[in-house]
Amino acid sequence: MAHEDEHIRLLLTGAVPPLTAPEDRVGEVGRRVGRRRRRLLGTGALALILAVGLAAGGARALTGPPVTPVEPGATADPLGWTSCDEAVPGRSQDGFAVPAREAAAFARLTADARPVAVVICEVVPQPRTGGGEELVLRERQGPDIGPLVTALRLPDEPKTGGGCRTDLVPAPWLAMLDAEGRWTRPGIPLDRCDKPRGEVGTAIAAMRLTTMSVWPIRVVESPEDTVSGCDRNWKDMFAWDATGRPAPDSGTLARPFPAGQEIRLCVFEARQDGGDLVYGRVLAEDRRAAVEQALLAAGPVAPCYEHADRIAVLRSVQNNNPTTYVELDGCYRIRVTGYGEPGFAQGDPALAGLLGRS
Amino acid sequence: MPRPWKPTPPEGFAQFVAARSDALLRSAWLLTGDAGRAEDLLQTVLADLWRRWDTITTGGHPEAYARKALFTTYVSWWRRRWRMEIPSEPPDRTGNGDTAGEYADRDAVRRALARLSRQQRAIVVLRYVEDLTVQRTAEVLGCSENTVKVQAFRALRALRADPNLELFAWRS
Repeated sequence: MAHEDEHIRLLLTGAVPPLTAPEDRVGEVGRRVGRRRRRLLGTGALALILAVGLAAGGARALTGPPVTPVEPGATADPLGWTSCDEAVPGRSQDGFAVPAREAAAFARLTADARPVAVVICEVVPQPRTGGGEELVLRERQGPDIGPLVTALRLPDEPKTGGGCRTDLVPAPWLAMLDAEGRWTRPGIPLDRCDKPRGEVGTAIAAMRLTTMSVWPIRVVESPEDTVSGCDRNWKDMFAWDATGRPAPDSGTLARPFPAGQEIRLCVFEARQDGGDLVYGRVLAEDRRAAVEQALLAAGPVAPCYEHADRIAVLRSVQNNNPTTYVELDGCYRIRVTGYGEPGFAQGDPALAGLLGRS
Repeated sequence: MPRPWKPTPPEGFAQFVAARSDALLRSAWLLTGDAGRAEDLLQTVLADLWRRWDTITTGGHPEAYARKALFTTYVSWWRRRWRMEIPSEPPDRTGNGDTAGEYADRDAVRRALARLSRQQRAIVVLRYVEDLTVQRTAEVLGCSENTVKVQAFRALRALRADPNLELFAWRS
């Protein structure tokens, strides 16, 4: 999961308040079922009319309220530049790339402006000392700003129609410094698709930028993760990779491990909002053979609704297909992806025992 | 004369509700932004599940069915029952250690989500909370992958532009 995606997920899941269940939810549901049954028995014709009405309501439901336009922030600071960390407090944790339209809303560089340097603030991953990877806030500055100033003074391109990709192209967070050290954030011109004009990125890419400071934000991958080769966290996909219809391939897992390739085992804690890595390792040959034999012998999935506390993920060290997920407790289900529709089978405590030790 | 109907849940249903309702309710809250409506949405879906229990459990995946039903029910006809997207009363104010700051933060998210269309909101939750691919999101909602991409783009743009949500990490 990308850093931004992970941030959005945390933002949303963190917003859910403590929710209290009713004393007898099953009873409440039963009463709903009963009411519906009585309605169906007594008012069949009315139900038909309602169904038509609901269908129409559903179609209307696909449109939503208008979006509030962006309000740009301050564009200049008469005080001297300090650092990326201090110039925009609170943003170091959240990144510095800017929505293109927000960047374009700032006042453009005027003809009489005399910037002497540019400062760029950005959040980037970088290798950690001792292994792994971390996310850092990085401040870079560069004095040879002629091409960049020229690019920033370009007008917005006219909206001439034609196709535009819907991918997000944020603008960099950049400020221009004058000879007295004062700084301002100039507006960035947009192309016909409301993305930053390419000339700006090209000018920045061609500059000789010097890294002035780096502030660690958080560890993305620890040395232990690097050694194990596992992701740091995992998402419960058992809950999604079936649609309620009978799975025709249930219990007939085909080739869970690619022939001749090493298999990496990653074990995660399973929580409702994801799960953290517990341990990971490449399976020894004899253990791999035992696990593969157990997977191939697995039968059809049995009905079960328990929540697993630990999940094992098995995949080749060379690539992610196929990937095998095994619940190490709870329902002991097995799920294999990589051959089109996911395949499901029923594991057991013996298989979990093979996988549940580091 | 029809016999009085006794609401006895089908075998396994009560265990399923006990094991999976919390997770489903969290998704329902993200869709509705209100604890009462989330419970109503969840019970609506569970009632549907009850009626189809035998068929669904034949495939062994009632949770997958319930999750899909949660989102499709919300997107397709939720509006008919709940015309106001933003409740007039502040919801979910609890005394369970929920500080004023935490309440303000989650209320900002709730209000930001409330400004999205139902489809956008469902797409955001499916893509970023449930971690589904564009393809799977389109399958769940019964729309095209292009619709998912476009609506996700518009939804994120709206969230990023929300003045109360200066929280997003922008990859440089």
